[in-house]
Amino acid sequence: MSSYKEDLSVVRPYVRLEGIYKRFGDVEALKGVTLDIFTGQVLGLLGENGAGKTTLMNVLFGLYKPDAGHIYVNGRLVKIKSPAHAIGLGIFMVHQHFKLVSNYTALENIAIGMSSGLKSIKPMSLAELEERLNKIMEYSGLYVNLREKVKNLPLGVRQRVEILKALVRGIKILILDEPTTNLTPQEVDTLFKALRNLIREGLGVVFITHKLHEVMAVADEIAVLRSGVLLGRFKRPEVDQATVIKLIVGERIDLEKSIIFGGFKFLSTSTHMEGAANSELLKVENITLRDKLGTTILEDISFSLSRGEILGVAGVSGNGQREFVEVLFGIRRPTSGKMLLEGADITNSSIRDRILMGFFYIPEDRLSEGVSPTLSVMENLVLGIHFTYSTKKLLIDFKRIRDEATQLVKKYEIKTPDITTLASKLSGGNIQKLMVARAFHTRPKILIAHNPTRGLDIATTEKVLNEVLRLKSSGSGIIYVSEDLDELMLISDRIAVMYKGRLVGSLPRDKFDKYEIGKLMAGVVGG
Amino acid sequence: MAKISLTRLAKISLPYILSVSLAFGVAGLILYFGGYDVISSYRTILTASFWNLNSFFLTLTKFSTLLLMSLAFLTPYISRKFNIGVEGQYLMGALGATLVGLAVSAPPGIHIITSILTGVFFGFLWASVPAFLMARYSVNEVISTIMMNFIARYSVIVFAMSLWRDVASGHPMTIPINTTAMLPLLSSSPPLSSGIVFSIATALLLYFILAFTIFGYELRATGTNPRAAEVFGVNTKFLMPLSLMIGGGIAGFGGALDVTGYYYRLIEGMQSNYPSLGILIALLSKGKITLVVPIAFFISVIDVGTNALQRIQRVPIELVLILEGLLLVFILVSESLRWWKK
Repeated sequence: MSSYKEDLSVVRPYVRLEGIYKRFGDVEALKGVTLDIFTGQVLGLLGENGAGKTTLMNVLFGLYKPDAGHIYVNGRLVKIKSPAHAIGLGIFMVHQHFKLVSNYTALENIAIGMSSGLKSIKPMSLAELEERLNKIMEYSGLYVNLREKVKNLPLGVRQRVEILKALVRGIKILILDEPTTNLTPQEVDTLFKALRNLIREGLGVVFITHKLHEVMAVADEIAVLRSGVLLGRFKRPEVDQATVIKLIVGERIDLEKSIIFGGFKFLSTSTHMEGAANSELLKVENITLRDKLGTTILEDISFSLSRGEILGVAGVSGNGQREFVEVLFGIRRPTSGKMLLEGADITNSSIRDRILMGFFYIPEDRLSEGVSPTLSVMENLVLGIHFTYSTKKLLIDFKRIRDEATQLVKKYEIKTPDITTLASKLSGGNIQKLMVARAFHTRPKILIAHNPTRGLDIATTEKVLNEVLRLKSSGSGIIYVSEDLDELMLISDRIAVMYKGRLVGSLPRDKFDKYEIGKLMAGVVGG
Repeated sequence: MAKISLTRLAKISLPYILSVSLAFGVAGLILYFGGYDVISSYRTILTASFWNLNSFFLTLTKFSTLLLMSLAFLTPYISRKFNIGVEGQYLMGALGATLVGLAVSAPPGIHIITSILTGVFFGFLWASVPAFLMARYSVNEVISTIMMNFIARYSVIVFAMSLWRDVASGHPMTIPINTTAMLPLLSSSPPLSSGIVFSIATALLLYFILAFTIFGYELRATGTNPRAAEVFGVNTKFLMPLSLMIGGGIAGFGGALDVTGYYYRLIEGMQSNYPSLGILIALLSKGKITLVVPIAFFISVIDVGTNALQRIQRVPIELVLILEGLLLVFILVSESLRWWKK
């Protein structure tokens, strides 16, 4: 196999993207990117959120038409019209959100679309497919219970189904978009091992990520993208990490002081831990939530949060995190259990009451819950606390809102033509900034943040983490729910894990261990 | 504040101008093949409202009712609820005002006010049924308001045919209300009801409430994204039904004004096609009161113009109605297609 690799992949790339240019409205997402993709290696496509990584690969997968530039596959100029066309050319992309039919088994999902047109009328031999898949699972190490319905599979396994779908179609280039997002550290290891196995068989992998340590662990080569420009390509052994970090973020942040890049020394863990016992802010006792059909969504959740504490909540998404934060903020009423704020029972307090008591919330889903699209940026910035901007109870004090919004837009670098611009005109990252600005502006006593840095570039992520830490030092309690374990381990004082609606384990900062948390995330109870 | 540039203004008005021209084009073709003078027909449609004070006042009268009808739809529409029940609420408002106007005797000022307020209240009450069903049992307001329209329509007939029936008329209607319940006229010859003052005042008040009050803010927040509003503590489950009831009150106000200021009685079919035109105007304006006013006026001009066409060019009424419908369809299509955008 090694001779094959030398003959084909090193000499000629399987895919060549040449001068790819793409714009969305006023935003230049890709400014002429040229990139070779070889079989037989893992190419790490590195860059912060919004750098254009996914856009570039969506172009290759036929989801976007480039405004300029050429794509060569196997040396031939092609115009890729659709994902089906891309698959025909040997290119497959696994997106962050899997495209599987949840009521079908893994095997059925893999079989979908394997024959088309008239051929699809002919009964298909699933047994033969299963046999082929068994072989692939064996050499790759990506095991899946093929007879299980997808809805019963954990997210990490669903990803394997997607990858198997690609492999069984004899794909040459596999594109993985942020594939570690919802994996436990153990699952990440398995995935990386599988990728090494697969490239030995001649597969080419494009691994999209914003995390340097991931590409350092798995990639043969690293390509760095920033603001739609390819800034460099390195062989992994020759990489100087500091140089790559500089390339990723540019000159915008001071690496010495950066939280993300390790300059940050945590405000000594002991300081607040000592007084923690007698400065309890929030106490949650035996919260259980059942839906209308009686299915248990949250089960017997108890914890307490102290002043100046950041409680990180880890877990694979879909384990009840959303319902958990909704119960805390009063959007849902728990079926049973109690919540006490500084001793006072707030279980049945309304959202508005909670806001008045000092709660605030950064929802996970920014489009459906974060903003009101046809209200202006300025009006959105006060959603939730708008009723405090009243003159004589009835009228809304737009002058004050305008002044404060102007400051917030500047402080949080929300890119908007004007504060009276409608929120629907903002990009996703800027909507996220708006939500963050709104939350910190209220100086909440208890902040409930659900994936608050999702989709933000590094400089803004830094800013959010800094604000969280400042809020902490002012004595607020923060419940920080995130799928990003690295981020949680950076800023939390304590990490608890959500698994199937239960809050399992609770590790103090000096006991943080990726693999230990990983076990809890996978439901291997311990810790 | 952002200045509205000329190009932007052109961009906004272009589709309206184009679709109106297109509608007039098709209407012209029909008139041409019908053997009518196309150019003078156009002139009639567009200028009939301004020929004399009489036709201008007629236009204003129509405008007054249309404006209230569209506001009755628009208020719930802002919180994303579709008040198809404008017709029923208008009729109940008219019925309420007639009831007080006929059955009660009181000094002029008080009588007028109680008649109108009763009308508003009847409209409000009529809308509160679908509002309650929506809040309590999640019944779709479109369906329930349509049903309420049926009930209102036939209730009017029953009422107009019973105790106060005007036996001299072949059409179901009541006898005139007491003179003490009649709204003073703005001008007596040609006549113009002072209702127009009230409907414009309603538009101004509503604009102010929506733009500058906490209630208006919450209503707009609810309409643009109910989930986000709810998550951040806005009581959408209360606001949505309430906005429907306010819409009902406005429609009832319209009915009451028409009874006390124009018809002076309850007449079967007095709602004409105003309720549906009102809904159309509100939809065209995309929920903006600043647009509702000019569009309502334009539609009134067209309405008076096409009616004049029937009288002057002897174009049959059916054709006139078809032309009017065509115009509206074209405007609506241009609105939803958005083909002028890139």
